Amino acid sequence: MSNAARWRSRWSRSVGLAAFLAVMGVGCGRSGSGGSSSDGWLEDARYDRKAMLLDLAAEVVRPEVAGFRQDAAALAAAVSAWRKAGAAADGRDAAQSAWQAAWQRWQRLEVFQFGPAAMDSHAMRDRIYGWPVVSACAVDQGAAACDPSAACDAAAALPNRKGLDALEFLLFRDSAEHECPGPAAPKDWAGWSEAERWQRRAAWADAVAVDLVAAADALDQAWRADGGDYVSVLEHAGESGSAFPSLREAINHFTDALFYLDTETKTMKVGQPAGIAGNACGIFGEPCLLALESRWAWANKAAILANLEAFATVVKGRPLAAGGRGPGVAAWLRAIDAAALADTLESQVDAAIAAVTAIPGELDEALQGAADGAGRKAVQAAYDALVELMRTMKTQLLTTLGLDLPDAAAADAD
Amino acid sequence: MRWPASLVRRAAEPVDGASLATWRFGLGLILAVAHLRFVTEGWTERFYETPVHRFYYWLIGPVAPLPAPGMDLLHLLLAAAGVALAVSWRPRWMAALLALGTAYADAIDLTRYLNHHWLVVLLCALCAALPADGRVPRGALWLLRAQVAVVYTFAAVAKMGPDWLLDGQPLNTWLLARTDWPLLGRFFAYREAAVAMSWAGMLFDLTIVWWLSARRTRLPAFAVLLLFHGMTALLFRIGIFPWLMTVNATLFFDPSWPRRLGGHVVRWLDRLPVPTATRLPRWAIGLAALYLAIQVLLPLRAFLYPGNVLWAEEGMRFSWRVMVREKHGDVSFRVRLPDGRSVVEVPRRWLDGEQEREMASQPDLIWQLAQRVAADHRAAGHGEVAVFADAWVSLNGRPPRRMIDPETDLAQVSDTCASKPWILPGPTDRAAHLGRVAMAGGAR
Repeated sequence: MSNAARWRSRWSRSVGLAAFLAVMGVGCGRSGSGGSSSDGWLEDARYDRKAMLLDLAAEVVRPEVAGFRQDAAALAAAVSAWRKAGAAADGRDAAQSAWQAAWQRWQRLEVFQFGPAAMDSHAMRDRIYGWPVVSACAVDQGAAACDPSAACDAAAALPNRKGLDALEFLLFRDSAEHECPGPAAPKDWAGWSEAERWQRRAAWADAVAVDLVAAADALDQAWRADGGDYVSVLEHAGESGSAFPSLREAINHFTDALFYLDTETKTMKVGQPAGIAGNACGIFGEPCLLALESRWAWANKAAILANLEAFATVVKGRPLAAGGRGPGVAAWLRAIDAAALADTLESQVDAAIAAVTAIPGELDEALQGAADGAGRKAVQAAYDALVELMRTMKTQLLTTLGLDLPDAAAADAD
Repeated sequence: MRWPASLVRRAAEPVDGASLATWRFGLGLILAVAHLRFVTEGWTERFYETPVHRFYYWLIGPVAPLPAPGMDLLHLLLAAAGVALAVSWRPRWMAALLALGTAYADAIDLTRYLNHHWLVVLLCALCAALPADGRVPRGALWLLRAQVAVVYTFAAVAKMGPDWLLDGQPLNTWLLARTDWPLLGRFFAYREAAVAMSWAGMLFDLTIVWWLSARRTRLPAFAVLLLFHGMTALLFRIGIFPWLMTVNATLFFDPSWPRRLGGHVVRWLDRLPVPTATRLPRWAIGLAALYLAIQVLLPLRAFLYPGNVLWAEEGMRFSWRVMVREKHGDVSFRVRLPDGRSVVEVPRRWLDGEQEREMASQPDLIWQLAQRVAADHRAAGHGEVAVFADAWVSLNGRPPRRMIDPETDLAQVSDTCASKPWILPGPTDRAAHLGRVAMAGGAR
């Protein structure tokens, strides 16, 4: 190679490298000129993801948790009153109403299973509500082991013997017969009078309600500003020593919980009982009432609607006293020029709520109708609406917000 | 044919093996840490023991993991091999062990496929095949450099598309999720930053090998490389990839460069055995040429398939399409029984979150799971069921669209290397344009 050719080669390499470095600097260069947030280029739209997360945590979840503690206390008082009044099967109206109120609120909190409720493999949540691991037989075994003349303690009992699901059975089951198959029948049950069986159930309900209050109190303490202050944990995401290495991780932890709507609400609460998805009955295409979440109070539609309402709050933001809405995912999407997706998400949430509301009567009633009847068709429509909503969430929403599916972000990628 | 003869002669010239020994040191340490992570992060249990279903590679078929604690012990053994490679103790044997061990572990579940794991297998295989003593034929260095050049070049080729260059996707999406970054985070909020960084990334991949190859530009290029890979390491969870490529860049330095570090380094290098001969047989050159041809042709196979490789994923693996797409899918299966009844099956019955994420956007994995669904229903006595996928995918922020023909019974089709007619056409509209989100915490 001649000197001239060598020089040209070096020159072209140097120019090339300079051009490359210049391009590398484009992003920083232009951005660097607008370092102040008062710069017009940077100021044209603002959206604070942390503020959204903290608003939902502090103004939606925390008050619901505090409210549930009160509901649990009211439920415990009503159960205690029922027991003291003689534990008659037809004297449970007040306790049933209290259970409905607590159940309704808890169904909203089911969608917010993050933070304290999710710690230790959801131990605190399972103590309050163990579904889908439920067993009416186990609850009757707990009742059988509870001496009505003494104070029973449910603290050490397995989750399938206590919690809101156990109270549903104890407060709404009409028969005094136990729910166990032959070999698992509670000892001495057959020898007890009907009144004694109800007294044992009431005593166990009392113990379970006391434990529920303790669990609700522990959850409330974990959220309270003067307790565990979980909102503060979220607030410091990304800081040194924080539970979350970044704000994104904290948001991802929060959005992971929203997938309750996919697995539990869509598939387990609607799809399986309707026979759309595989279920415990094993009869494809036919309804399976055994797969219903609420099989004693028959409050399934209310539960599904409560799940959806909680999800809608995350999407749209909480209603403000002064009108308008607090920060939510839809506003976040609009702030990053994804308004079409925000509109889609909001309309799909509304459509899902409308579809569930449109189910005539209770879910079990609708499912027991004719295959081509309005009830079954309405349940199918509700399922389809949930599928549409979850599709948007699992695909475009996650992509757009740069978030991950639950349990999908721990390993390396490339 | 003078130039090939001179090329062969130059390839056979013995050069100082110091840079190769130093590269092995870095590679060995990185792999030691990587394999230790498998044990300390609990990945062996999560990846190998917990899954109900594992995906397999075409032609290889299902590969079973070792029974517990076998996989833990394997990764510990590979970590020890990494240390041994680093200190040049029986380096070729250690490299062979690392290549085979990594290939085996990766073959257990296709959803764990990573480009950099494939690169580790190739580099370790080369390391096992090439001389590893005090002086080495120049061709050994050339081959390793060529391997690194293949990675960068095809990574650049993969970026030469409208999503990357015009829309700044998927960087736009990824950067938006990281606006809480100190200092730079505020700029990540803007699509323009993503587009600029996309171009920079493509140009970096396309040209870095040339800058590193030229003596005059080598040092500044290496500084840029450190900045680039340092940024990617901080921004994305891509494991050892940035460190691996940084160590690989040292292969382009003068073969004796580590001796300039002096002291202990020189004494260590001088202890490495010097071979009596460094002849390069002709068959070795032929083999190297064949190897390189395969390395070039393997990524190029993606162009034989119709449509967008990022959508259909045909020819995606082993072609260095590193971090070029953000895909999320939603898949369920409609199983139709012989009597006409049908039921919906959701992937979570068989997969964990990570597996589901990977499966939901890759047609061949959807087909594999459909086959499993069919097999399980047959085993349950439901007869010859038909399985249809309801698969929707969002690519780079676009609205979700159907990926699999919902009328194709996936239980009845077979997987070949031919293009799959049941993959529906990908999107033709532009990727999402996102931006203008403000800095996290800024409004509080």
